[in-house]
Amino acid sequence: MMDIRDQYLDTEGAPIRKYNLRPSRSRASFQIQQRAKPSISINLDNTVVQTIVPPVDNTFTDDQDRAESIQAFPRLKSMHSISSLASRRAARNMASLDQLSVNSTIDPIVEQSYLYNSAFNNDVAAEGSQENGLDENVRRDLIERLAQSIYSYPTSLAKPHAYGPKSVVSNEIPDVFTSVNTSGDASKDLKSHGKNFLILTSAGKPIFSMFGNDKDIIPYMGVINTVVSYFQVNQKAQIRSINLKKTKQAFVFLNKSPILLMAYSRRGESTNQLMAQLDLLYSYLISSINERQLQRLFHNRSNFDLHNYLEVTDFDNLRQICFILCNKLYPDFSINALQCFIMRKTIRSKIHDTIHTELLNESKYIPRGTLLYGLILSHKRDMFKLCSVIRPKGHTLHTVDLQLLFCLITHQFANRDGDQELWLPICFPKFNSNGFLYSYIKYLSRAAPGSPNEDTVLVLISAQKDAFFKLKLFGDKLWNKLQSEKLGDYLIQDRLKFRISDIPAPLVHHFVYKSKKYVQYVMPELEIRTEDEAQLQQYEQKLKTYYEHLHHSAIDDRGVPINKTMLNYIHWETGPGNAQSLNGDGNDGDDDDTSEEFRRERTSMMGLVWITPQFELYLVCNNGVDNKETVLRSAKQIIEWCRKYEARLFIQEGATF
Amino acid sequence: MSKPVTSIKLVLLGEAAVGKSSIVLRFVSDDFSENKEPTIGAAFLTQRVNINDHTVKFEIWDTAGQERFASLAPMYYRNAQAALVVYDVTKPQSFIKARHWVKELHEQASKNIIIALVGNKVDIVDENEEERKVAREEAEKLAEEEGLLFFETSAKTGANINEVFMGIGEKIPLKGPEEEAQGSGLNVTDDQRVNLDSPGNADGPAGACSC
Repeated sequence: MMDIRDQYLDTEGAPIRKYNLRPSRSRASFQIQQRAKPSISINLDNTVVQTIVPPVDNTFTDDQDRAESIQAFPRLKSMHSISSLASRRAARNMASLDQLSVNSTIDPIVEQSYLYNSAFNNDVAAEGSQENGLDENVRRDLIERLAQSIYSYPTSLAKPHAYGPKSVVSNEIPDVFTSVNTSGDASKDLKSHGKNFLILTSAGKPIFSMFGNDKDIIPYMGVINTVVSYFQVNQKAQIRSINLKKTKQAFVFLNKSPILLMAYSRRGESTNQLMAQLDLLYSYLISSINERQLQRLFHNRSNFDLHNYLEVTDFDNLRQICFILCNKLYPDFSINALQCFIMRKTIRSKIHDTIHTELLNESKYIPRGTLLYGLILSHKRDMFKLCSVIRPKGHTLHTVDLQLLFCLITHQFANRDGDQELWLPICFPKFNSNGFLYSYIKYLSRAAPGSPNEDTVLVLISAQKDAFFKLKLFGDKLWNKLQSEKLGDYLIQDRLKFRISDIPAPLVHHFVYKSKKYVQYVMPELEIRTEDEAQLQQYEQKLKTYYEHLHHSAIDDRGVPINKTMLNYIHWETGPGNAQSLNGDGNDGDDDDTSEEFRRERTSMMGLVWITPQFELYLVCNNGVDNKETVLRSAKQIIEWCRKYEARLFIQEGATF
Repeated sequence: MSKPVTSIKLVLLGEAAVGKSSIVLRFVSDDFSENKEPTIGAAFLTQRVNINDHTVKFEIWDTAGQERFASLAPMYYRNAQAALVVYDVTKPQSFIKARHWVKELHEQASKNIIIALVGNKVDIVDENEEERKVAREEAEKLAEEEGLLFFETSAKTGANINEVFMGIGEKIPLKGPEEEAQGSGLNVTDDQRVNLDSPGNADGPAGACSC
């Protein structure tokens, strides 16, 4: 059996061929259901400080370069060393309140840089840093300036040499992660993609793949199917993931018979993160054809070809979700919360009161039970923010359900006339995976291109498939009423958006704060001033990866926080002159002069994750920041600020009926 | 004195990707976009046009062409006064589907529904006659047999699009004068007949559909 499989793999030339696929319990490369995580917990007052080595820091596009790459990526080396038990013990012994175990490991480069960062009067020019033109006074001055201000440069995307040589700190966020081709065109070789999602039926028929056409992916179907069945039959277990440590490849499986999903990633995401992404894709399928329909289709014919049953729209939407998962800074999915449109407390409650009265007044047109749930959303650049919520007392919709709805809306209105009203059957998998609900969707206002305004969308959800005209009538009346009360403008203009500099939190570049009570999160505007989509995407991608690492450090394999309360610091480092850090595979080698500068920049990034039963805070500091006390103080200030303005930042009650 | 306004409830049917939404977009906004997202469920739009002395308000249901949503179609065509059955002149399969829709409309929809058979994407054929897979004669024959209006259109160039709606608009108010003569003075009933926005009528389909 194994021989046949090996041979099969061989003939297909699948990339995993080189590694022993034989499942043996002694090999760490296979994991079923559980995983040990190298972690250290220290009790600090009443907060558990936990330091975890982020699972993967760098991914390699080419395994032949591995030996060189390890040198090019000092952090990787330190990760290797810390994952050994001995060094973990050592770290624990000297756990003198130093939460940065990563820095205290035996890696020489990191150690030096730590020294350099903590005691800047050392002569560090000898360390191969290219800024050796700076004398000590200038250096000291720069560091002092940093301590007082958040930014060392006024604009983040100006040509670096316009401001002289790069110094110790900048508000540019460097990329310490080798970029792996993700946006590349689908025609490329499958193996060139850093990430892929495959969906197939339990009988092995392909349904969807993010990259690759049917011809390319069909050979993998057999392999995936065999691997999953092997564990089902022989081990009575569900395989969760295969992690190839050498090449940093991860394969994650989700078996939702009759549907089988697999994610492949070289980007260092955790099993849990990939699993959540697979679950989202599955949820999308269910939102389109509900579970009952799905079971019926496969009931009599286990070899049913779902690919032909689904429609272009479904594949487009799946592809769109994959794109967001791979390339966008979209915390909604990863921390499972929604973003809220910031509004003054009084305005928000006025809006909710108006909705409430309107519901009561119009009850003869819209009988009780017609409206199940209502939303007003603001929409900009594929991001949705909740403006207000109309809901029955004691009921809320699951965030995943709403996120799926948002995806559909973006897509449906992408190039549609704004005056259209949509009537959309959708199954909310977390609400009831066996039935459809119907959504009335209308753009209340559409911003002209380039205007600072937001698109505003009204969504009214009903369980009755013929309630369109009732909901339309109510929607029209409601919008007229809101406008006559002069509240409409508050929904159209985002007056209260804020930047990180509006909060007294020095050294912080960007943060995400989630209120667990309201299942909503808030984050400042992106610190990038560009209209260039590619640059923007690169920036988002970077931030996203930082947040992924932070998130992963606090979450165990089942997606549950490791401790109810914890505070982690994470430090990312690359040595000087690391040419690979920005343009891993020459994705955008065309803007050479900027990347030259980037290459010379030293990277020393710090991030913090703080989880309590009330909130989750993820923050990323400016490059070069290493003062944990200041960072912690900033974190506290952010939390204080978010709590102070809670009623503005989050929808607390909504209009309940 | 304002012009009389007649509402026409119109539904578009046809296979997926034949250009239903594009036809509507061209008619309503005089616009076209190459890569349009397929419709999910249905979209509702209105457009006012002047035909002779009348203002006609088209209330358009642009339905999803996909098989999955076919079960919802009766809801949209049940009270429709007009239907566009759209096919793609380069895709024979879509014409077969169009035949099915015409049949279903004759069986299920209201008796005096005006149906227009629309062959879309003629711009492709204009460029290269070899692309044509549905002969004009064949479609004309079907239209004649079933008593349909027939147009070949291009939403991309805008060719014939307005003519389709004008054709329907002209055909429907033909009944207008006599009914108006009957109901002169009875504005209330007249309003209810044509104004599908009015609450009374909005409740109508709801009751009919709760079976």
